[in-house]
Amino acid sequence: MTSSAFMYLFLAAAVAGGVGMLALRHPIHAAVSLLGTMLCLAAAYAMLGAHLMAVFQVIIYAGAIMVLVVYIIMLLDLGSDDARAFRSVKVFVGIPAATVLVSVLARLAWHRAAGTEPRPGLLSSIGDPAAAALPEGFGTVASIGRDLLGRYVVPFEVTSVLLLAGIVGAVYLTGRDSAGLKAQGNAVGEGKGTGDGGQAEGAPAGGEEFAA
Amino acid sequence: MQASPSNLLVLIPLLPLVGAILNGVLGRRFLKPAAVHTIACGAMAGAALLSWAVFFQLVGMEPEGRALSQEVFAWIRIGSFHADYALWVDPLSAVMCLIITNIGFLIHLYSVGYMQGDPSYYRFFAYLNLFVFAMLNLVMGDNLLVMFFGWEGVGLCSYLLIGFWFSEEANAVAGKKAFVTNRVGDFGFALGTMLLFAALGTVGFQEINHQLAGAAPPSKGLLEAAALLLFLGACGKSAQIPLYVWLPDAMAGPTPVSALIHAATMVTAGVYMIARLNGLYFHAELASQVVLWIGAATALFAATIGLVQNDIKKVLAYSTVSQLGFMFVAMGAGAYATGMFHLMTHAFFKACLFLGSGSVIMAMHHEQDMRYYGGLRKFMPWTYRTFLVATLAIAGVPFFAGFFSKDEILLWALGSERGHAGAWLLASAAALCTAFYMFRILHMTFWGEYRGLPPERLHAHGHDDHGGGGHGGDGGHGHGGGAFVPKESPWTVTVPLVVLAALSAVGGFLGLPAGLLGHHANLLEGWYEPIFAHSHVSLQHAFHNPGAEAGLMALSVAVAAAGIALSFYLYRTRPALPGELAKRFAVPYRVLLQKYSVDEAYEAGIIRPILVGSREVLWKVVDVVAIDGLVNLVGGGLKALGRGLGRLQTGDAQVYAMWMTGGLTVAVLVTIAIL
Amino acid sequence: MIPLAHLVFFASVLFVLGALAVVLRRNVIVVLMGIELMLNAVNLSFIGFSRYFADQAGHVFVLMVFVVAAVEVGVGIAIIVSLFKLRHTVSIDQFDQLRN
Repeated sequence: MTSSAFMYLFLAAAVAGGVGMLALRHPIHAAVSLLGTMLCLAAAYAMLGAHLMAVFQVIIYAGAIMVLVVYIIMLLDLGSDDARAFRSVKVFVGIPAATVLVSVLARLAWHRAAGTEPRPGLLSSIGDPAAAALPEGFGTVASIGRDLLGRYVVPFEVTSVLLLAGIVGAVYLTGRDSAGLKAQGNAVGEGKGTGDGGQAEGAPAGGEEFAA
Repeated sequence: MQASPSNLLVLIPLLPLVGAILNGVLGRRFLKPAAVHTIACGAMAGAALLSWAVFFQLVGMEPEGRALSQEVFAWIRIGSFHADYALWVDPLSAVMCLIITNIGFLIHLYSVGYMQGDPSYYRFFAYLNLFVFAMLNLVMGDNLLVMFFGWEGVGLCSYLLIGFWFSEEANAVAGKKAFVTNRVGDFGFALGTMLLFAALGTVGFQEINHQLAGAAPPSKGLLEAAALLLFLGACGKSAQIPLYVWLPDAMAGPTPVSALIHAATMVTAGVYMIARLNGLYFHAELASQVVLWIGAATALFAATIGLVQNDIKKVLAYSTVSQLGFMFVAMGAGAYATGMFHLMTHAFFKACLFLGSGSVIMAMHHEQDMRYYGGLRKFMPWTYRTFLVATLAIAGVPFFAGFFSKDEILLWALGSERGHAGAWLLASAAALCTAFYMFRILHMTFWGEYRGLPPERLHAHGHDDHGGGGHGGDGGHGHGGGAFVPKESPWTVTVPLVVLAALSAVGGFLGLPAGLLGHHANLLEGWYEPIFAHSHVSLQHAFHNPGAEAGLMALSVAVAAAGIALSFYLYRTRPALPGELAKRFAVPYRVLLQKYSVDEAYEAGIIRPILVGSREVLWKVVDVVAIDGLVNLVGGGLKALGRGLGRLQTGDAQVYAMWMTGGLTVAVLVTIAIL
Repeated sequence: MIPLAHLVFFASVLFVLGALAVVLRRNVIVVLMGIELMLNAVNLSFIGFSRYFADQAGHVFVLMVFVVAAVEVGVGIAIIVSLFKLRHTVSIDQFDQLRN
């Protein structure tokens, strides 16, 4: 029972973090809020038997990705969004759509969990499974490692190609200026490149040079 | 009839096509005139030689299986509808091929002299070759669609060549008139083809004639209608009432064109078509009656107009219309072989006459009015001699080509089971007129005293008739401006004349009267025998003895002699009389001179109402208000819609995402509602 | 252990929040974070199903999503930096090059 209560607590906290990210004007506040969500989710993963995933969630998401985001926010020295942040026609479509969606899903989840049906239909044939008993070593590094290099080795390798592409893309996109600047003998040209709009306009030539 | 395959056939139309393409594409920039006419005449000579080869191959075959065919490529195959591009040469089309390629070659040769110095020399030969290609498709086609392709092709070339000197409006208008008039006929042809397909399920000539051989066909009404519609097409192409009006105007084209297209070959397409579909017309008795009467009426009608025309080419044009009427009389009377016989002899003498007139016109500085001619005999001996022979042939003087064929037609018009004394009377009257107006040409052009051109006409014609082209000294136009002496044309002109005159003289012996000299005397009838075997219309019983035929023959000789004598009396003995007669009978003379005002009647009765109706109703009401309104409404509506939707494309990715979210919500709701 | 339906419900709420961030926020970096939140919501449901069906495939898939998220953030941030260099703003309504 306690574990259930904690579960609800973590999930509610995750949702609260999401709301915070959505609502807070300053990007740093939003980022920290999202960080909270991710940590809560890591706890939820752990309670769901996915210990390795919980660890990855903390290391990769909270540790790497969010730090990168926060770093960029600070690097670009971004302030709060102005008051126009929410004053848009998008609000009039987005908020009602979200409300309707959430309320419908809530009703569905409620009925499903309670074992009642809003009305008989196809969904009822799926049923709400009781949690299965976990096999030995479920979610451990060893068993997941075996899966990754066994059954799922091809997707695993393809993922590495994806990572490589991401790295190349990121380097290409940000490295254009420094490549151009290197040609001028200035190795530490980042600040200069940022400040110099004209340099950025002339970037394609440098980009090609880099690609070559 | 089973045909032997032959790979030669496709070369016959292909050679002129290649010539046309070469001259048409390269002629303007890269080819000298000598190269142009070498290519064109070479292509024609090749086609002519191949035609002879094919002809002799046919001669060497058994009469029952005397046919060659070649399936060049599969053209249209939809379900049971098969129309391949296939060629078929049997005795009928072989003769047509020979006429087209050989006379075509002679006329090409003639054109070398006639068109010399024309700035569009290459264009002329390209069109001429293209015409021959289309005409060969018309006669060699194995089915109605290939024939229709050729049919339209010759129409196109006719249009292009009539308006060859298009910088003068009258020529362009004449070309347009020919084209539009032919459209009416072609419409009938197309409808007839479709109807025939509906009735018999095929458009192949062999299948059609095979199905119709023997017992009477089931759907006779459909066949009659198809035959009538196809005859409408023939009326357009072969210039019969009511669609003959374009042919006299078609004389605006260069004279070789008039000879080749508007006398020897294209205008006989209608006759050939009926001969080709003899099975159909054999069963379509009503349509045959229509053919007979239309032919007879046209023969006389055109001949009477020809009596009073002063333009030498106009007279020949009406003569052509009239002679075509004779051929249709034969077709209507069921004498298909006889009609084809006259087609052939007519091709000889009419081509010769046209080319002779062209020679005269060239010598006379492109003056076509016979009132300025006279006494040309001593200036142009060869032109005169050949013209005389051809005139004797067309007038029906015994033992010349036209005598045998015309006599045969008159016999059938009266004596056939389908003939009628009225039709015979009309045709005989036409024969009388023919003899008269042809000798009138001789009197006015070659005999008597040379009247000469008045200087102002000389000047007027010196330049504009060739579209401003500088034609050289060849052909005897001295550009001195003052008195000039007509000169005989060069050899390229006279050689074709001599050949054609020889054919006009002896061509008739191919079809000696069978009734008098026995069945074997008529070579052509025996040659055509396998084609028309199942469409045999016989003579009435009374005409089965030689006496009847001999009597009729004597009568037609008398008729011709009367016409000739009348012309001598009017133009030699009492030269003043024609003028007096014209004054005394002013009204009929005027009517004839105005060509019965048919053009004006068409103008007032058909063209003007259509024009006015089109302008006032179709354009101003239907088009502007209804169609444009509808189009504008649709267009405007879509434009407004587009403008509205265009506002959605803001370039703001978030808005796109917003719509996606909205759509996702709807999708979820719908899914839940359904499941 | 809570019912699977509740878990999925929380996951979908998180997803909707992320989507709203993508749709509504003007700051490109927050939009990027919205995408991350959506990915996390999907991960949550993967892990939940994996637990309830005792099937480790869900874990493997989550790992893949981690990779995709990492790559996406890496490239996304690179794009943002480039755009910022060009326009000196991270406000999404300044970027309407998709028009026309």
